[in-house]
Amino acid sequence: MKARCLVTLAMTLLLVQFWSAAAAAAPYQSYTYNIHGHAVPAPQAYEPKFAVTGDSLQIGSLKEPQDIFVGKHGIYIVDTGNHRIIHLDHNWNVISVITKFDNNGTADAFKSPHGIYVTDDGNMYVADTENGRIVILEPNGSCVKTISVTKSDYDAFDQSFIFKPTKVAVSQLNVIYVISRNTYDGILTFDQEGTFRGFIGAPPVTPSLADIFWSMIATEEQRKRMALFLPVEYNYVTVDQEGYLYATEGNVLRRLSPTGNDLSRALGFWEPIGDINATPTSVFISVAPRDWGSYSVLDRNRGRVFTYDVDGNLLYVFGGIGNQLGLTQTPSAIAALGDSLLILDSRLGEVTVFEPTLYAQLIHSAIDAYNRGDYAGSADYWQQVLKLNANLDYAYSGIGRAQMLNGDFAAAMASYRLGNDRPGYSSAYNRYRHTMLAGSFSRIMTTAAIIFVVLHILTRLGLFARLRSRAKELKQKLMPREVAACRGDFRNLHVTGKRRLPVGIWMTFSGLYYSLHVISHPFDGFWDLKHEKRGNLGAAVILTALVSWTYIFMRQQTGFLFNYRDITNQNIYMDIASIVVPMLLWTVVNWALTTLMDGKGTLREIFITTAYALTPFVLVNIPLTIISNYITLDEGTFMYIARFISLFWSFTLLFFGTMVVHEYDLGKNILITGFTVAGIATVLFIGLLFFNVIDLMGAFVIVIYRELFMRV
Amino acid sequence: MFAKLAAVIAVLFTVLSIGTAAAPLSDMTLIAENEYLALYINEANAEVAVLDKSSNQTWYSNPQDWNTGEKIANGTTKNQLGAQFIITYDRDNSEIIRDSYNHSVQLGQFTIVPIANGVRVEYLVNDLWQSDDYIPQVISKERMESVVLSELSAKDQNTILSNYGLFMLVELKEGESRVDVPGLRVRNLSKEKIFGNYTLLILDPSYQNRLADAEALRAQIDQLQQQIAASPSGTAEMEALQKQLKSLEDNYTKQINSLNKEKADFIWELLNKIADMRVDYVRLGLEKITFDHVKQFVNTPTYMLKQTPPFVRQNMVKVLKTTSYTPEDVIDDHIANNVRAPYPNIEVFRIAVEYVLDRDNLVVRVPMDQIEYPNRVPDVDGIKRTYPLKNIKLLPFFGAANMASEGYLFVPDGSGALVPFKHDKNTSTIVRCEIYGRDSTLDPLESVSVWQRQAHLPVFGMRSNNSGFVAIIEEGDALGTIVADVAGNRYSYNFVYSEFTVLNRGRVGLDRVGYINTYQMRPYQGEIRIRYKFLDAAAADYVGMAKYYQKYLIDKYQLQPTDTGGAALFIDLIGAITVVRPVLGISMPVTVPLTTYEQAQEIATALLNEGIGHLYLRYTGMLAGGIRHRFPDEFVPEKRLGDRAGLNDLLEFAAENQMPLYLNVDFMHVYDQGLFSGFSSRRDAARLLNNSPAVVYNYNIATGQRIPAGIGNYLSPSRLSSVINSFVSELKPYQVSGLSLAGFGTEVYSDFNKDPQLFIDRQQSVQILQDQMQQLVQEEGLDLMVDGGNAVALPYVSSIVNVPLDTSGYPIASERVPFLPIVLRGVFQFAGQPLNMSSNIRRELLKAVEVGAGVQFVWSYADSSLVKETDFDAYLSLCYRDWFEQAIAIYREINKVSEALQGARISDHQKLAHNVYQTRFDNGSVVIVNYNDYPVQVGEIEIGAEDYLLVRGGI
Repeated sequence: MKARCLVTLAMTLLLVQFWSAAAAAAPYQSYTYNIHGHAVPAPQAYEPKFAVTGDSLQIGSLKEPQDIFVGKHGIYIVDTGNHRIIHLDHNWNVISVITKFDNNGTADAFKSPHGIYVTDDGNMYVADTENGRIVILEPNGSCVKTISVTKSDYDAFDQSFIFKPTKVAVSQLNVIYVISRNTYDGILTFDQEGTFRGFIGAPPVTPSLADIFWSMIATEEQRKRMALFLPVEYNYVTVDQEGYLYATEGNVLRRLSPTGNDLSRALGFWEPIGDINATPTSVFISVAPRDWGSYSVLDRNRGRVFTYDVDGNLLYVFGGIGNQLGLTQTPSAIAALGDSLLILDSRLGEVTVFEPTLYAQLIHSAIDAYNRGDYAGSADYWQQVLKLNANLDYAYSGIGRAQMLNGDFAAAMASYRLGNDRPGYSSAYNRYRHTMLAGSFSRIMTTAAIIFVVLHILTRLGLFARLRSRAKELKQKLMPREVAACRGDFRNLHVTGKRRLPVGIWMTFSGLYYSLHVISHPFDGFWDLKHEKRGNLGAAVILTALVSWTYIFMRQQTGFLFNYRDITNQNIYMDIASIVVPMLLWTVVNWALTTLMDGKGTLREIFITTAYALTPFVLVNIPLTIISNYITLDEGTFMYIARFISLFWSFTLLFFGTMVVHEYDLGKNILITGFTVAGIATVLFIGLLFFNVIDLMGAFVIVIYRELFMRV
Repeated sequence: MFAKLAAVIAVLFTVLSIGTAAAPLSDMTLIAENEYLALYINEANAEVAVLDKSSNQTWYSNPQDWNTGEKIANGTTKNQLGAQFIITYDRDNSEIIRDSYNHSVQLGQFTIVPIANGVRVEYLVNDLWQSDDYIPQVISKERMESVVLSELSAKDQNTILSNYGLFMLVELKEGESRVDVPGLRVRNLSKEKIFGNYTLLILDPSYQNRLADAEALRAQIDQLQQQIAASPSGTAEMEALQKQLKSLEDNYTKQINSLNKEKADFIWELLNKIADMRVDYVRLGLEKITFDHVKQFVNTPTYMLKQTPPFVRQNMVKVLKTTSYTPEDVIDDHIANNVRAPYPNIEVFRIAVEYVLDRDNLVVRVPMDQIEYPNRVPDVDGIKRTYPLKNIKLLPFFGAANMASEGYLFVPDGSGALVPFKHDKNTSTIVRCEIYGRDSTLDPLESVSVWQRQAHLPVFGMRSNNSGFVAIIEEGDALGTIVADVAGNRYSYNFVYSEFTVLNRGRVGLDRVGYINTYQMRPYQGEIRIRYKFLDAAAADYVGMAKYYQKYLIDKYQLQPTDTGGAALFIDLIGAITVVRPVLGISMPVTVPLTTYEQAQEIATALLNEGIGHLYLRYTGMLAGGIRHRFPDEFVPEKRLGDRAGLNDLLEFAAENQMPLYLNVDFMHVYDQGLFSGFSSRRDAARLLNNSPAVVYNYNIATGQRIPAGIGNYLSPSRLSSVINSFVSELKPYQVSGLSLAGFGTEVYSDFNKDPQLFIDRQQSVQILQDQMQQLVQEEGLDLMVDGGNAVALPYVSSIVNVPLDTSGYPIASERVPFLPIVLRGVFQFAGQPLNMSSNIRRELLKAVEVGAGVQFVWSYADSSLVKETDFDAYLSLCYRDWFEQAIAIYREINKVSEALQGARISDHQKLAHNVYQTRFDNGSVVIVNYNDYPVQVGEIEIGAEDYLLVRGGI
């Protein structure tokens, strides 16, 4: 007896120790995702404070606990393996341990309960899984009611339906929401009498053509089944203070209205799916609703907690798998106790309490201020957040919003740009441009008027005519004698000019210049290109280089609003190849096919034609790319239309150019174009095959080398 | 330095106290003694004990009661408790574990050799001989009698002899026919060719008797035949005689056939034994046997082992092992008789452990160059085999404490961690601390999942009841991993030791089909040396251990304390970074300045104007290219930060204000891979075990997966000296007074080059780093700074930043102690992680106050947002304007504490309550720190939440 007392004393001492901050840093790395989907460092948002075990509570070890709930009246832990509910106050003092309850005069017990929800009046709703029922207990522990449902209660149930409730939640209107194991139809709802009211939350199925076809030939009975087949197996449900439901399934979290409408928002850079581009993906198993529609969701795979705001913006991440304090082995549930977060570990049977750091507190304050309408206060908090984490895009946006309201559009633009917030930037820029234009309207108009007048006067004075004739003279001076002779321009031969250009360069440049004629007069342009030798290979090569450069320029210098590319990952060789390789393929395949089908074009002519045909791409996209830096998102449509026109123009030119160069009629040209496209596909396929073989051979040689030289 | 150490060892303490204390250790023999310690050894099992005369405490190499005390482990694992070392080696693809008890002591394969002031135990691990190798197959009667039987009792003689057949060859008598041997006929072998003019005579008495019986029968038959010949035929008497004759003849034929068959079998057996004989261990083959192979049997009575079941042979071995007849003698006899000689097991290891008393220390050494392991040794089939010895766990159970003991193990995880003997954690993990972290040139990790602190010191220790020891790894530290385990986990004992990886294994992938092992060029050639110091009740705690280690360092390296009182404020300024930006549509690396020379001076001036006394400036990323600067084989300051005059201005400013300024240079990692960078990864990079250049990788912070594109290479330690020399030679025009050597305090890596000339093991690498630092300090007169604080760098540096002030928090090593700070305090200027990157500034500040450390900030002049979306986004809170005022306030706070300490060392540290620690300094000042978020009462005084109390010395 005495020994026992001592043990109790020791336990109490131990207990006291738990209630204080740990003096160590968190054993995990915190991060957030940037717009490119890269995990970037972030300060710790939450740090572990202490862990609570069954032993430290002196109620014996917890065994596979599956749920934790924090309500008005305390903390509730579902100790599944021990078939009991543990009720603690908010300071971790045990209030009661419910193993038995009075069910209409008979003693009853739980069997592997998995979930609990406690309403503000203290009524406990327990998902008594293996007993196949929901048990409603009064605060004093006596049973009010049990709820169950069998397949006979509802004709849409599958024949094999067995009610195995794992999670339960209750709205303020006393609607009971239940997740049952192996049920794919959504969340079961019950009214306060315990009557089953149907499923909610199954996402609407968008039928494919095949589904529609099959449903047409299916029998009435089959059709009924088909309509109900909505494969969604939620594993968690809870209700927040405002009555919204949170349900998880895989790495999807749905925020539902009380009637089951999906109100989830994904306005962040990425959907709220936990880790981005990670295999395996996150698996959400529990949600803790937070203030202002934010929520913290627990990922079983990596033991991490992701916290999103109501719009689905990732706020912070913490936690991990491991054996140090703050890491979990098999996390099973999360709950919020004020600003603290509690994570239940079913393998270790312990609850770890995490406290927010200054960083997380500032984020909370900023969101809180914003939602209360205190935008300036919110910006101040975001400013402090940024001081701690320069990587958080969302904070820049937060500041940008406040700067917009202050009318400081230039600063807002800078903030939005740093925050990669394109809609924000667009509207800030719109307002900025507007004020700039409005503010300097008279100046702009005056400048325009002066320019107009000056130009008019200069024209009147014949300056332009003179310039034109000067240019003509210069052209004659530079023109090689051979060219002049060839053109029969004998007068030119007498013009004295020491700096006549070499024939090759002259021809190249005049060929380049000629491309401007070709794009507006395709038929005779291409005809002359071929027959009058107006185009040449040099010009075509320069044009190809220009097209490649334009493409790279476009990808890099398109305005911030329209450019989502991560410029640090640019591979310039790939960019060039993605222009040059298709061009060459087109040229070669087209030539190979047309030689068989009495095309008149040579390989050289086809290449020149192709290059000339792409001129509009260069002419349109270079100015367009520059302009894209000065327009808003709404005006972007014009840019896309212009870009489309440039492509359409180029391909039309290519089509007719091919026709002219081979002297085909329209029908034959359509045919040969189709064949060429098919031919290119074939060449690509064979090419890939070939590279694969080369790759395998390379690997084989490496293996041989290693076997020979590395073996000891 | 090695020479000096060797001298210390060589000048062994000669003064032995006269009148040896009566041995308290009944089964042990006193083998060395001085005025502090007495060393004993148990000659039966090579266990060692040391008597500490000052505390009268005895320390054993193995727990003395393990046979009865061990409750958890059993079998071989349990027996490991009797081992002085455990080795791991590879047999093909499997890893074999052997220990000195199971595989050497129990086999009697060890020798105890007294040496000056100590003893050396030479072990042979693994059976040298198989059991059958003790039994001679064929041995001359004379040898058998003189060498074997002479030492045996009659009963044992019989045990042996009953399994042998005695024979010899004698000249064939006229007309005598040889016995027909069945196998010989089949093979068309010629009896004449083998036996010539001789025949085999079996000399066994029983055989001889039966032969005599048969001869008698023959005589009887002959007599009867004569009788028949003499008698008339056709009579009834005749018929009876005839009948009798027939039966006798039948009987005789049977007997003679049986004898002949026995003889034939005997010959067959003998020939097979000879046929099995190997010329260079290649099977001879029956068909090649000639008379030459058997001529030694002529007229020489010889024993041949008959076919015997294994259990009988075991009996024989047991008897033979009691004689002086060894497998070596078997070899002689077999060779003499042209029978296959036993081939010694090649899978054996010769390892010596030396225990030497050095003043008040016990020094345990394993001379690695004397270790023998099978390296390309031909096996019995002539195939050359290697069994690479990879790992040695030395004295794993030294001082092991049983379940009833009170105390803890000390491991150098981070700032230092304790493993309490009794804990409430439900875990089976053991604690492993790789000294100086992981070797970067081992196969790069696919992913990192465990968050951990580094072990910077090669020290471990134990407090058990009222005494303790601290062990310092003097040699082989870079190969060491400190392992601690508590009673109730794998054994019933608490123990801590170090294991040494003397040979690393790597894997080379073969496409998708698998991998082959590849090993480092040669094993570690130096020695492993651990120095044990025994602590008496007053000093037997982690503070005593730390203080001893501090004293050890000061004495060994004549360290001069650099702390002059007053808190140190370390500011790490980030000069420039490289970012990728589009230039005319093409992405180009562009250097972005964050803090120019002028701005650095501006920040320093602002700080000095605030009255900061001990400002330590580090300038990171001021070399061309910024943080990941160009290959530093020449000193090229980044142009975008200012011109040369600007840099000189800054350096002069620092000199005028007596402000230490350390230019940070990274010699270990090479990021600039340009064609003209002067760096060639083929020539200059350290190699991995698969001989490819070692690459610096980044890891995805969300998934922990390696990011496939490396960001740089590790410079080979062999190239370090020339790179540093050419760098330093260009420093002359500038007034550079200090360098910060990135990585020198946190990393040590090998170069596993396959070229033996270029191969550098990790311990050699330590030597190279130390040589370089020594040269920079002594010849160039530079002041050095490092990060982390690896013991490698401690003798040469004056300031250390990013010193871990907490631990990895392993479940059983959760108790954080400031071991490393106690060692550093009063000798070095040091600080922990930068406060502006920590998640809880107050807590980090309290940690600095607890041990009298300085504080560090990492700053830039430019806005923090410049690092966003660059490779340097870990600097997520950088701008100095955001922190300036807070830094001043923090500095003033800790300066108050530091001024009271006046450069004093820590004399005591203890935990008063949960998260409440008291540190006593040797000038009498006391600091009590409360990390809790509630106030605590200490004696009369209340200490506020997350606050501290300073009691000035003398009060």
